[in-house]
Order: sequence, then C-alpha cells, then structure tokens
Amino acid sequence: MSARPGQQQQGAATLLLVLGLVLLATLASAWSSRAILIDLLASQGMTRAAQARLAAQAALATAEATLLQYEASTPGKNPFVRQTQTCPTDLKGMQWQCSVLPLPAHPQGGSWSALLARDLLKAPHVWQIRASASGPDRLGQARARLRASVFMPVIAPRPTDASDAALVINGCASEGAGSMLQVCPLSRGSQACTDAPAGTAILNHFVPDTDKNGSISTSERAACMALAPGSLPAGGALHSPDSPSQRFPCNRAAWRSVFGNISPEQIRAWSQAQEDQGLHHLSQPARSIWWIDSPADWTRQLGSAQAPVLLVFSSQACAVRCPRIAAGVQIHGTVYADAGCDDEKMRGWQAGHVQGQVVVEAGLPQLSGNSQIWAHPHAHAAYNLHWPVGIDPGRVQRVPGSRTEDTQ
Amino acid sequence: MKQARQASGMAMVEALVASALLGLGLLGATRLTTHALDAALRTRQEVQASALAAEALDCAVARRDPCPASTQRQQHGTTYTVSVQRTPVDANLTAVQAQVQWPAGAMRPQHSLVWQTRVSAMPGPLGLSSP
Repeated sequence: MSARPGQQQQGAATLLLVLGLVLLATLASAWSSRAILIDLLASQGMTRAAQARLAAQAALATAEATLLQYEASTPGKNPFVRQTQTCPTDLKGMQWQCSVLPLPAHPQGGSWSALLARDLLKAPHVWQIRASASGPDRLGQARARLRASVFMPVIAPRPTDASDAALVINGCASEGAGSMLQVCPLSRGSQACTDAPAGTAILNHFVPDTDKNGSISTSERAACMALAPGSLPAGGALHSPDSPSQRFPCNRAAWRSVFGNISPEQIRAWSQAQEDQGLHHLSQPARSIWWIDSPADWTRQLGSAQAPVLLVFSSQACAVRCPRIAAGVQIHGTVYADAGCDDEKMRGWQAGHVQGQVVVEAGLPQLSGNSQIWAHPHAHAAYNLHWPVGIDPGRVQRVPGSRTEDTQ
Repeated sequence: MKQARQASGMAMVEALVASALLGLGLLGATRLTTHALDAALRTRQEVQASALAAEALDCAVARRDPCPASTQRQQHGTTYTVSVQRTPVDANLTAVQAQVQWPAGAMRPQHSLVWQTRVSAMPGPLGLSSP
C-alpha cells in the first residue's frame, strides 16, 4: 500500500535539489547586491566629501568677502584685534598670531569655521585663511579643510630707491665738544669704518638758505654739515639739496626717503601687535618692531646682524626732547626719531652704537660723543617685506598658488 | 496497477511542491536582483549628476567662459539638465547653486540634485610668484 523506499528517496532528493538551487540563486543575488551596496556607499561617501569641500569653499569665500571689507586704518575692524586664538600645531613659534573670523550661520545647516593666521615678524601682510566645513548630520561626518592666503594692505612696501645712507637727517648737523662721533657708510669690504666706502655717509634733506639768495651755496652746505673729518673715518658721500626748500610745516622728508608710503600708523599697529603677541627683546624669536612713546632715554640692546630691528621714537616720545640712546648700547637695524623738524628736540642727542641706519626728522645740533653710526646692508630687513611683482600693495588680493585642500 | 498510479500521483505532488518552491525562490532572487540593478542605475546616475554639478560649479567659481546658465547633457542614455544660478549675498559675495535633473522613469518623479557654494569678489594678482 505504501510507496517503495526508492521512490521516497527520489522525492527527498528532488526537494533538496530545489532547495539547493534556490539557495544558489539567493546567494548569487545577495553577492551582486552586496557589490552594488558597496558602490552605493562609496558614491555616497564621495558625494559627502564633495559637498563638504564645496561648503569649505563657501566658508573660504565668505572669509575673503569679510576681509575685503577690512579697513587698515580702523583698528576695531582688524580681526586679529577682536579675537585671538591658539594657533594650530603646525604654526610653531611666538611670531604666529591667530584669530577666529566670525562667519554667519551655515546656510544648509552644516557647520563651518574660518581661522586667520599671520607671521608677525616676516609677513604681517600675508594672512592665511584656514576654512573648514562639514555637511549637515544627515550627510555624515565628511569634513573638508581649505587653506588660502591673501595679501592685506597693512604695511606698504619699502621703496626700491630708499636711501641706504648711514645717517639721514632733515636739517643741519654739528658735533659737540670732545665728540668721538663715527658715521660710516656701507663699505666694500667686511670692516665698517676702515674699508673703502660703498655708499652715502649722510643724506641731508634741508639746508637753510642763510643769505636768502634763492640757492644753496657750497659754503652754506659746508656750514650746515659741520662735522670734523675724523667723524667720518671711512669717508663716503655727503648729500645735501642744491636748492632751498620749505621744512615747515614739517615735510617729513627723512621719513619718506627711507620708508616711502609706509605710514607711522602702520608701524605703530605692527609694533602693538608684536607686543600683544608677547614678543620682546629676549623672546625667541625676538621682537623686530619697536614703536616708543616714552620720553625716557633708551638703554636696551636690540637686534642682531641676523635679526635687525626697527626702533621708532614717536612724536609723543620726542614731544620735548627725543630720547637718547645710552653710550655703548648697540642697536642693529634702523632707528628713527620723529622730532617734527624741530632741531632743538635733537640738540645734544646721542645715538649709542647703531649698526644699520639712523633717520632723524630734524637736524642734529651738537651731536653727542660716543655716537657710532655704521651703515649695514641688512639695516632694513625688519620692515622690508616681500611683495611679488604684480601685487598691488594698496588692496586685498589672493596670494597666487597658496590654495591647498585637505578632505577627510 | 494501483501501486503504480499511487506512485505517479506522489511524483506529481512532489514536482508541484518543488516547482512552487523553486518559483518562490527565483522570484525572490529576481526581485533582489532587480532592486540591486535599480540601485546600481540610480547610483550611476547620481555619480554622473554629481560630476556634472561639480563641473558646473567649478566653471561658475572659476569664471571660465563659456559657462552657460543651463545645458542638457546625454550620458549613457540618460538626459541630464544642468542649471546654474548665481545669487548675490552681499557686495563681495555671491552664492552659486548648480541643479541637475534627470528622468527617473514612468512611475517616479524626476530625480534632482542640488549643490551650492559661494564665491568672493577677491581679485587675483597679476604676478605669478608667491612669497
């Protein structure tokens, strides 16, 4: 009555075969679906990364647009003044100043930020923007970072024809009794004051027309530059104007011949930024720009041949009498005294030992002894910033080739 | 004779059960494969649309010419419509949006992808060297 055992086994075998075929088909489908799912996830990851990159680009553009509104003359608008920030670890050294640039809310609900960084010693006019962004949460955690640098008109370039004379004055010079004054121009060899001169010793922008004849005679020039030959041990040219000029109101001829379009406000802001950053004469690296408003005499050594400084005694410091530099105090770099074309503020002045350049916005009557002023080829390095050809230093613009990106 | 008929009936039932099982299994596998192929097609179209959106945004950001506001591109049998829109945010900033649309099929609405970024009015230098 029942089926034979062979027939029962045939049915079980058929069932197993069918189950095996179904399993095979399912596995094949699952395998192809898995490959497709991986492709899908990969493409979604690429999409998230691309969108994060676009968001970072938008953050960078927003930061650039904010900087375009920057006004160098308004300290409150300087983003470095408003918010300081610890710099990223790859920006090593006290000279790096960083600040968060506030951005409006991300339009698509993601997050973005922009960090500004600049080197206060070598390139305060090159601001690095570091923008980072991530998409909204539904897009996952893709994050993109973009970097770009812009030139900012915070410091004008030093003029290419700036004077390299050891002493630049805007009036007549004489030396006090018993003076051991030394004014030495750039030399052809390595020994200042002994090797042959290679430049101008003194550049004077103002000689009074004492006889009122409308011209400056040789005797008037000689009377104006009443320095003993011993005060110019290496010789060098003495340049004075051939025709009379007006000095009042103070024409700032000495400043313009050395600093060109760099304004005192720019130098003061630069000095303040270095001070706020904690740079000083003993820090590593050392401060390079010193704007001094105090009338006290200067007694601190500053700079070195490798790291010269710019020391400015402001009109405030020179309100009554410009600060003297103590005897034997060495300054490597440029010293400027803003005497406002008033010779009396410089009477009996003392220069210490300046290896670089001394610029005085007045004459130097009875220049004190123990003043050594030796020209040095790196005298202007502290404020001689790099401005590539084609860059307009008067406006904000991108640094070519500075853009890099990093997507995670 | 009766045994033979019984055996034949059993074989028919087994064959029907096996066929039903096989049919169900293959139907499931086919549906899975169809979904996978659909997802693959969608992925390919989205990748293609992303590439077109990126290209359009690059063009708009780099201000290359010609950089048309709207174009149609045929890729692997699919027609993509790419449109770029610029919206000023302020005097120095412009939002740029690229939208890519492509047909999804008779039963579905049109697919669309929207990417956006911003571009500033910051000028580039005339020189080539950097500090």
